[in-house]
Amino acid sequence: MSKISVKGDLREGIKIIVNPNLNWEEIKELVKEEIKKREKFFKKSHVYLDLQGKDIGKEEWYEFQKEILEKYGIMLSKELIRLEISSANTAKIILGPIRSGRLLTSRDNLLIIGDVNSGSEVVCHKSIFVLGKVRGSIWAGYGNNEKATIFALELEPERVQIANYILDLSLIDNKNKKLGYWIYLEDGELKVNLYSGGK
Amino acid sequence: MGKAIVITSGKGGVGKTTAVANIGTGLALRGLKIVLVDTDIGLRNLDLLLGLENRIVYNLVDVIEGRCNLKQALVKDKRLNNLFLLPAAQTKEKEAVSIEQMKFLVHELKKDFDYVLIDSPAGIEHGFRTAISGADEAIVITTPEVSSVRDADRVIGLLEANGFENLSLIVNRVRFDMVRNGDMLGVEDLLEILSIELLGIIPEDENLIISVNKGEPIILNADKYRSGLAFSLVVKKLLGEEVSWEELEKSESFIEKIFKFFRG
Ligand SMILES: Nc1ncnc2c1ncn2[C@@H]1O[C@H](COP(=O)(O)OP(=O)(O)OP(=O)(O)O)[C@@H](O)[C@H]1O
Ligand SMILES: [Mg+2]
Repeated sequence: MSKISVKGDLREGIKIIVNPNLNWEEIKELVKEEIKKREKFFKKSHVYLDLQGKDIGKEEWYEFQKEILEKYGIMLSKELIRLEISSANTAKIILGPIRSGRLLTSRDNLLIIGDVNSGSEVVCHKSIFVLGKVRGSIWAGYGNNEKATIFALELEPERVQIANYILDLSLIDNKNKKLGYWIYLEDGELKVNLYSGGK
Repeated sequence: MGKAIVITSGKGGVGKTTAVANIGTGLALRGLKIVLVDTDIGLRNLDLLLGLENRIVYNLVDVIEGRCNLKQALVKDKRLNNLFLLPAAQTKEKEAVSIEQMKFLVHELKKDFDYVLIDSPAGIEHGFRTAISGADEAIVITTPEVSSVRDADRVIGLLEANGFENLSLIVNRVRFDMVRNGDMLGVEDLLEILSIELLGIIPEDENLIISVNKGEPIILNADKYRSGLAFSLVVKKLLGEEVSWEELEKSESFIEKIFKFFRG
């Protein structure tokens, strides 16, 4: 297999795949080169580094992640953050706006077309996708489903939760306008990423 | 058969009664036969805004409890003989009228009038549910404050759940100067949040207080006061005519300029 390859698609986001037979130093060099080449394309996105099962120490990984973030403003991740709706690809589709005072619940993934307004609550066992602005409260992965993610075009929420984790709302960056926001659980913490759609 | 429109808001004190008095008067000025129904039982106000408080003999609860017939309870306006008020009872509770009774009453009124305008009480409880029960359409009124907007959103959700399809929005107490400085939510922001059709924008206007005290809806002075002009635009839009809101903002900046001129 080739030493390194890059894939970007809507299902899996941006993904850098490395040959696991290389050593960590070589991998780091290759990844840096790759990022340098495509800095613009990657900028402010979340990039998934697929190590194909290779084990990297926590410290070493953290160092590298920090270096890349500081140098290029790109957040690397070891775990795949899929834009996957589910393996069966099903979702309940709801037309918004979800108005104040409404409680919307779903066992399946939820696709909301429209806004989630202040004073409303959305609670879903799986992932929630909002093609609109979230001003109310959303809870994905209800019932301790830590794989659930949240996507929203615009995010000025009252409360965001995935599984048992509540998002620190100060993590939301409303200044850098991108296509949308991804929220997911990684290393026991909720992360917010600007989604640029590969642009 | 006429059309019944309820004016409602969720939050109290945002201008429902003011809107009913002015829109009703405006429609009557166009020669239409109008009745205004005050469903704010226990807290009646509409009679005061029209200056009709001394002419009330019977009220809505009297009609429902059979003490008089519907025609006897209607109070004719002082100025316009095609405008009528069905007053609320001041000494009863909201529960004195059931949803079925209200539906029947509004249905009866629609036979004789072009428009039945229903003034709803604040809140989303029995009084609100009764007020909306007989209506064909609803006008939601809000001010640009976040609490009022959220309540309007709640009310719109409830109206939609009750099968209302024709909903429109009046934004009251707008201060264009504050909107321009970013200190107040603009009408566009409100429409984006509430996603319903705009029926009108009413500026903040201290002259309204004088008009209330005189029992004379300000729309009768649409040429002098900007809130009167604004209500006349609402009436226009309600009747399906073209309206440009810029006229309003212009009228405000004109008035502002005059004030500035006198203040030096
Ligand atoms: N555009 C405005 N500019 C200035 N004052 C206003 C404006 N609109 C309403 N007001 C004032 O606000 C107060 C409340 O208005 P109004 O009684 O119409 O509200 P309401 O929604 O019917 O209240 P309630 O919920 O108690 O029935 C009144 O004193 C009225 O004069
Ligand atoms: Mg009132």
